[in-house]
Amino acid sequence: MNDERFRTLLANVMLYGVLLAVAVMLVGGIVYLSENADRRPGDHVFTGEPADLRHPVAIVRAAFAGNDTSVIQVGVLLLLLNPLLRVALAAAGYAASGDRLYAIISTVVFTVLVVSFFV
Amino acid sequence: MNEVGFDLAVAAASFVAGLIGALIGLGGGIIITPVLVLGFGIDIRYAMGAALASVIATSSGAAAAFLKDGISNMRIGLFLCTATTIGAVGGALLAGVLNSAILSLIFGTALLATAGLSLRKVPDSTVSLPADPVAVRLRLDDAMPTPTGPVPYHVQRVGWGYVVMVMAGVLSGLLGIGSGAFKVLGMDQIMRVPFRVTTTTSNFMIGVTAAASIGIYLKSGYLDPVLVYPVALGVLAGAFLGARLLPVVPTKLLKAIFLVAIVVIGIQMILRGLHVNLG
Repeated sequence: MNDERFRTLLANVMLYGVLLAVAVMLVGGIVYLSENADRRPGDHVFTGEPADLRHPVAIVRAAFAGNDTSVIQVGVLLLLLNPLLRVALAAAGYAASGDRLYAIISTVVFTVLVVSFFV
Repeated sequence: MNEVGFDLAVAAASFVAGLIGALIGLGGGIIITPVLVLGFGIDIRYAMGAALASVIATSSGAAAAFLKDGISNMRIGLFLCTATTIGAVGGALLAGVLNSAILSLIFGTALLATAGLSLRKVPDSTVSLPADPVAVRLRLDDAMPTPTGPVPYHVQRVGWGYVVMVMAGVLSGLLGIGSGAFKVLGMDQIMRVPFRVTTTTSNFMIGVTAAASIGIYLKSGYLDPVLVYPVALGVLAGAFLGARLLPVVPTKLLKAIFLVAIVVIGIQMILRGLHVNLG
């Protein structure tokens, strides 16, 4: 794939990825507000989020069960997948064009991102 | 105040932060966190989490636009991302062991440094520099497209630039910011990459760097979805409008006004860290 087409592909992945994440967050936020309009806002003291809002699998599971805050958190996960996909595409692009050095460099960055989820 | 009013107020403040950030060339992340902490009384860890999510959103949106015009240098970006992502993982882990007061103190200091960095005059690196063997081996040199044809540039001092990028990564993970000002410092001042290439490449890197610490933020419980959505949506909308307004507003005057505001906010964050209450 040539550089020009590769850049355009990357740019589109980023743009539509962000729009999708934002749309999911917005839907979750509206549902949340419609059900919790009278709740008193918190967040003054750090207590950490509950376990089901901290682990990707639990987040997705709860979102499909209809939990509004989990739907917002799925939007966050989608946001976070965006740079991951960006780097994976770069690695694949360089590997396809025979650029070993940058295929390796992109893979290193991708590995750091993946590992950061498990530290 | 009920939840609707609170969320709307947070979204409005985030919108303004994103707008100002785009207009004066700073990310929304470094402005919104102190606003949430000082203005809304939100714990700094939740503020950092929401700000970092907004950083990924704006960086991805902006980088998409810049990638198409062919100015950003993908090889420089990816190579330096090995430094910023590793730094960011370290910074995010460090944030978990420091208390809120120390985080506020470091945040205030970073704000003052950011204001100082953006005051600097940007020299146009039109001078032709000799090729650096490390940069040549990594194929970092490229040409910048200009109206009069491509202008080649030679990247300098790769090693020092790399060290600054590790530190920029640490700050990003530690404070939940994009640390764009520090990335620009490394690329523009130290590696002597042309300014336009620097800013666009830095945009590409910011999102990738932030992604390296957001997993740790998520697992540590810094990402409260109820706060993340008004902040991320607000900052993104503000940044989008800011990018559109950029050609028509007097940015020099705005920059002077808001840099003063940033210095004041930075000092307040430091005082908060030192437990000094000015009421």
